[in-house]
Amino acid sequence: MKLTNVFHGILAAALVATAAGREPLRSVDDLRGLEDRVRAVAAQAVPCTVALISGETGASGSGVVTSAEGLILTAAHVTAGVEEVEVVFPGGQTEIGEVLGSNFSKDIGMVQIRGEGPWPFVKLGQSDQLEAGDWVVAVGHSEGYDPVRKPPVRFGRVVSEGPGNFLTTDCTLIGGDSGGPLFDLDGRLVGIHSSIGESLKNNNHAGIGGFREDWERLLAGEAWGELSLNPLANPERPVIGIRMGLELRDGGVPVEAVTNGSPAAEAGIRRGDVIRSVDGSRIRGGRSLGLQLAKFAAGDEVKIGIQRGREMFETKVTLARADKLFEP
Amino acid sequence: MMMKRFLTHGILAALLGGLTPCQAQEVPLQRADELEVTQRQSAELFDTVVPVVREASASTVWVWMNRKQVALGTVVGSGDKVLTKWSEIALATTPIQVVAGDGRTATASVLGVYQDEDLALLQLDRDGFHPVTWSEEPVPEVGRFLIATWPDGRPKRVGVVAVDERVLKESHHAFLGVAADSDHRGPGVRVAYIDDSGGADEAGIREGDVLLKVDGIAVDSGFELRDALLSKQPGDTAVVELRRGDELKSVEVLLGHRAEDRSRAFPEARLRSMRSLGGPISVVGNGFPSAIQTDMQLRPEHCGGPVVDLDGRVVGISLARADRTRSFIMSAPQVVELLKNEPLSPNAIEPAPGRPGTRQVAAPNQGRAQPLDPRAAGRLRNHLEEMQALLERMEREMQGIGE
Repeated sequence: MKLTNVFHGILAAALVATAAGREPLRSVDDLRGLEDRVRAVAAQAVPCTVALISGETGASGSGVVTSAEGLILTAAHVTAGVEEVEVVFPGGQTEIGEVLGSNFSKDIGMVQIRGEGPWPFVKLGQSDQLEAGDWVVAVGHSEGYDPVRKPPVRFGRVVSEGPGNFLTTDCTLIGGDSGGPLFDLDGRLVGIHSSIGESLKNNNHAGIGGFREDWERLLAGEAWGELSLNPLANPERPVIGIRMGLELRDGGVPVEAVTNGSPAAEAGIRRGDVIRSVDGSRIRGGRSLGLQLAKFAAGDEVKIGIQRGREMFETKVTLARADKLFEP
Repeated sequence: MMMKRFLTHGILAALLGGLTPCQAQEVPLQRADELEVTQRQSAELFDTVVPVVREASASTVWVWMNRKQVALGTVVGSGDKVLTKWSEIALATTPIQVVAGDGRTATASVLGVYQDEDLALLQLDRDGFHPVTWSEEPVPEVGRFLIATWPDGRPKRVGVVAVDERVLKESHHAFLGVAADSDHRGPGVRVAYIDDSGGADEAGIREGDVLLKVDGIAVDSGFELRDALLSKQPGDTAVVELRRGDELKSVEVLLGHRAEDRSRAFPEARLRSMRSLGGPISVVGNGFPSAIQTDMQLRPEHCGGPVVDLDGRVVGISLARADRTRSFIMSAPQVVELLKNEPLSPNAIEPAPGRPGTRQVAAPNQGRAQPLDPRAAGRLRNHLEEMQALLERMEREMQGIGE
């Protein structure tokens, strides 16, 4: 009988370990399990986290090696304006990296190490399913490469998803971390550090999903897009394709016009409708509508709450990319 | 207005505007349901570690000065002494008060100061406080959870070890005394110039020499050279194999120590504006002889207290909030060693020069309960605050020009 109980214990532990990083914490033992995973991720990630230094501009950021052949993922703004960077591994080994493509709208870029591998590398994960509460581990060469220490490890969780491919965590970042890797608890790469806001909870990362969409173009060395500090000005932001009227005092947004062939048109939204909610969350004015939509990516399906006269209903809309809809 | 900063510099540096107060929500795009999830998760995490901090909390005290709780303290000795953060109490103009979680209160005087660690040893006017038991386990390594205690028995902050214990004091790092030529591509490191404080000069190393190995370890970049010297201390010797023209040589070098003002890979002014983003930082935040780096989000007034692991063992004492990403912890074995040394009398302390990577610090030359002419202390503090405000304003204006 006793033996069976032991087996139940082991099985339960195994189940917890394989589930997403969002299990409730009930005991110190749950925390020990979490700690073990953070340690394992850190041990695997640190040797693959490189500093990228540009001799021309003096810029210093981070990157992460994702293949034995030396393909590095980083942030677009780390390699902006240069063709070559110094790639410095923890421990001091220094190689030359060729800057490949960059999409500035997503703040993602690639660098290829010139030297022959094999290089230590991390595996790619998924960022699309990440949500608030998922545990993550961040690594990066904070404040630039420092020969007396390995790149610092930080632990936290997703606090907000979006805009677009981006996500926000409370893993604190600072200058030099840009381009560094964010991992899930299985040690798979889910994001690349991009920017910070004032709050300690406002650390923004470009999700790995954005790389997947643009993989071939980045690999081919194309550079495009526009770096934006404002998600409502990002050319790749998701839209439904309406012109907004003056917002109502209660926060509703009247539809003044519907763009032909837009997701709104396809979903049957009409001029004169008042938009009330996005996926069940009430909106409070035009900016609020824009920010709520910005949390999704083009191609996502959302439920838009509409008031038409006295009638209230929800309609499903597949979001389009602003740059493609307005300037095809 | 949403304010974000990209985490590098270079051609986009101008995007990084000056620091403006952010009145809006902490995370602009966070939905109410996301906020709720993270708040519930934090509460869960803190509830889980309550039993872990119970014992160490009893050895944690609040340190009060000038009607303000300025630091934490860790009860040591037989329960009548407290270790706390020196720079936070150095300007005391009123008696220092120490308060435990059970309400027990004592008046404290500064028995001595460990200046490099920025720790003060306080003598309490009564005993009966609960002394801490230091962990005898190995120092926790990267990824281990750390929990900061609070006298009331609740955990205060949770973080992980970000970087293994290391020497932060520049002058404790061994220095060969050569600058690497960054245009040189390996093998080896070509000497661009000789710094006569390092020992290379004395050993006969010259500009243009290509250093191949240090103590048998091949070095192919300036960073690798630095890495090869990490286990060395000033005063140690290293065998350097080098190539001069066609000639191969081997020389023994007596290592010196690094100068305190070290140039960083990242521009200092830009970093300074990012460092305090998100919360205040300690006056003395860096340059300690030995510390564990953690991502724990301490505030200056949280420093000086015990830090425990998931088994509740006191693995160290919090030394400082260094900046947005870093707090420093002194490990238990190091604290135990430190306490074996006689601290410096507070009357014997020299005004400290600024340390690299910290806000300017002015350690006054006395630190007893009422050490200075109160007006002089007030003037000194006002002066420091004015200087700080002026510097910040200049920095904002400089950045404004860049945009």
